[in-house]
Amino acid sequence: MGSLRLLRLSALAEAATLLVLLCLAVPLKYLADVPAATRVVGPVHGMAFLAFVWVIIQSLSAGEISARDAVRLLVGAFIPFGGVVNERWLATRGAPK
Amino acid sequence: MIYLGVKALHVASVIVWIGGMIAAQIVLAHATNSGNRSPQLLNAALRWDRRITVPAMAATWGLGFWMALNAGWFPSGWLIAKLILVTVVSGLHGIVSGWLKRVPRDDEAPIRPRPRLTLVATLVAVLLIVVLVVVKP
Repeated sequence: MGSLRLLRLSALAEAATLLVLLCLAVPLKYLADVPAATRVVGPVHGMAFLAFVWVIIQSLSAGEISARDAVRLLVGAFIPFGGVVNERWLATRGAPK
Repeated sequence: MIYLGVKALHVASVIVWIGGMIAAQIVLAHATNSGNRSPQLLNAALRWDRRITVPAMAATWGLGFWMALNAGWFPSGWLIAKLILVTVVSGLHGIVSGWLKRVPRDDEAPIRPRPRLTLVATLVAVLLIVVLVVVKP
């Protein structure tokens, strides 16, 4: 597996679950009165976010990203589509540091 | 019955996870302190970490959340404290896992790995977690 591939995959997974949560589960809960949607998707996104943070820590410790990169990735995790933007940025970074 | 089965799996995954972490830190301590960075040993430790220890950590989290949600343990104080400690241990694992990737290829890493420090921190955190789970203050 490439050195940044896991980081890119986890960024995409976190971004995808955030979008499902915000664009599908939350509207279902408040507009269609289906609270089970957030009860299911919420923990899934939570686990995806924790996994992403773990991969960031691992990559930082391995010297594959800088502290500045780690902050950028973390901030992007809280913004819809931020993870997608960061995944593209990681894909074009080239060789690890 | 299902809850007890999940609890048994959770305890088993914790043992595999923490055992893997301890083994990795012992290998790293040997590599960094003796200067003998055996690539075979470090790569074996890295493969074990990827294939066994990391999945065990993921299973620990998943099974633990299932138990907490189904048994209504949220928001007990002891569980919140335990979650903080488990998060710390998970972070330590991330750091150690990164060192396993870095040490074999980088002889002059700017940040010297400190596996003995992380090993002590891991053991202290695990002890506190066990106390919290058993005593449930």
